Amino acid sequence: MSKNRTWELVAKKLSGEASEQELGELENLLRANPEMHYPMQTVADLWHHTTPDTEDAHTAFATHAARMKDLGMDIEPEPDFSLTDSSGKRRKKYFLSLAFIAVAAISYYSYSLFSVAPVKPLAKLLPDKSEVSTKYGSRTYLRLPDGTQVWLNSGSKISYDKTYGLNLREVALSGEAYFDVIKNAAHPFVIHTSSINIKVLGTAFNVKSFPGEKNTETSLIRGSIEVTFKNKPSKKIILKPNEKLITANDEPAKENADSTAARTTAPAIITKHVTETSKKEPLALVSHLTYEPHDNIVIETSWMENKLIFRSETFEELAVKMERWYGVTIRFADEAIKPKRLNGIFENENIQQALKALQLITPFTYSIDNNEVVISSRRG
Amino acid sequence: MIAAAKVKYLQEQIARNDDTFAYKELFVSFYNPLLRFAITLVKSKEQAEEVVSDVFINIWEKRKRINSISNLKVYLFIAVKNTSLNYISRQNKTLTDDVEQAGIEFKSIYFDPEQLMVTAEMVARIKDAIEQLPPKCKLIFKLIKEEELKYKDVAEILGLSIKTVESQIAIALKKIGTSIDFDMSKAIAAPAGVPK
Repeated sequence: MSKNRTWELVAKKLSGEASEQELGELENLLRANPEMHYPMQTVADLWHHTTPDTEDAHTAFATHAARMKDLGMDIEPEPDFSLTDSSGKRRKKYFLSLAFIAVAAISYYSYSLFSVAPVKPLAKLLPDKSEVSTKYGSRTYLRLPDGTQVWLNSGSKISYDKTYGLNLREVALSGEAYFDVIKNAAHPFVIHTSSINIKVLGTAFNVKSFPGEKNTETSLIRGSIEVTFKNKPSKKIILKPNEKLITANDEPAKENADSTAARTTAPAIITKHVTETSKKEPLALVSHLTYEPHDNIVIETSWMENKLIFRSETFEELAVKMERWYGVTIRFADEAIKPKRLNGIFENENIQQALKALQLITPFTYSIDNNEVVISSRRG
Repeated sequence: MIAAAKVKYLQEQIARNDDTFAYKELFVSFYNPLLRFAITLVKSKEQAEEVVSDVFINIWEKRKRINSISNLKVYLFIAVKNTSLNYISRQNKTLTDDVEQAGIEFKSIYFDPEQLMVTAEMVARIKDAIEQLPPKCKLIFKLIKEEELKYKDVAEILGLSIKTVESQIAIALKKIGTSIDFDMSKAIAAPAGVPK
């Protein structure tokens, strides 16, 4: 009987369906039946062999498109890109890739003849500034003009202007995003956050830089990136895959109106004026990415899979994440429960289910009124 | 597999902007998993290719309304199932509306023996155990392991309860695990009989 239960739990663990409680139960069962360890491990190894794709999906799409054309549906995609402007509406389709190659070719071969002229019509096509932002409780995905993919977590904002890609590919980020950057050494990709600049050649990484939070976190999945500091331009840190850079943010300074007006051509980078304060904390710390032990998910990027994972975080820290995740405000009626450390994963739960699950770990009571959650430690 | 947020984005682009680029990306992302699923049902690669293509033609024709689909991934698998069953019904001239009735056929569930630290004999034993699984059990195992679908997604696609999916996948793992268990006990306590 316990064997059947064990296999049920092993299946749940491997498929990522197991709850914390079930993982604990499985551990106990395996401890009680050590002879199951070997077969379980072999099954787990076998489980993790991913099936190779045998068919070339692009070729299949060409066949599919031809078939649709015969049926009177022409869907062969044009080489365009999608762009969201500040009002959130998508602009008409552009033939940027083509235009861009043309511009590059012209300016390379006959620069003197055309001088800067060829760039103009292209710039005209684009809105002055494009901005995509997400509300608390929602996440989105977008593609930048060059095809670079961005996943934007809740409560975050990314912006770039029409000079994107002309020289540098510059974006400004507030909040958290995962970038999968198209390789293009001629046009380095640069991300500006309130405290650091990240320069990229072609790579995938996650940046977390919420206003009001102590630290900015940069997690590198593959490739290589170079991080420089707004307040210490001489300092430079190169990150290798699987590394995470944690940097202390500046004191949450108020953004001056004049600094926004200072540069109009570049994205809205707030050039904070810097005073070398006698901060005792280190400026930066390189550590490693954290993997979820049972299914190898990188915790830093788990939000992309719609998972909110927390490991040994205080209730107070978790509450901030939950506010963004669920689009609610969370208030503590008293201090007692704030430092309690919690572990867990939220995936499909709504705020009520999430709070109920937390109550299983630690006793507290809560009330929800509209979008405000009040948490208090249970009396008696 | 492709991240949920991205599927949602592609879905929106197709519905709102007739975005052929997004349409292609959706097709490319799901082609191999859907083709594998269709092959297990219609048992012919050519037919399966047509099934998947038909499903995507339908998506394009209905693109203005696809935004109301809450889980496009599950929707695509269900569409492939239904299109396959329709095809089989036409072929057999009898109504087939259940995957078990259709009969399920697999090449095999994929694993790479060279990556397993086991003997050739045990590899054969594992293969055998997988082969011997009842078809429905094998299909569930395949969808969860190979296509990384959630229990509730598989339940929805195959029209089963989550409990059934849960017990079937456990049976699959137990059978495979037992085939290894058997080998181990024989290796350690050679003369002993077959442990149950």
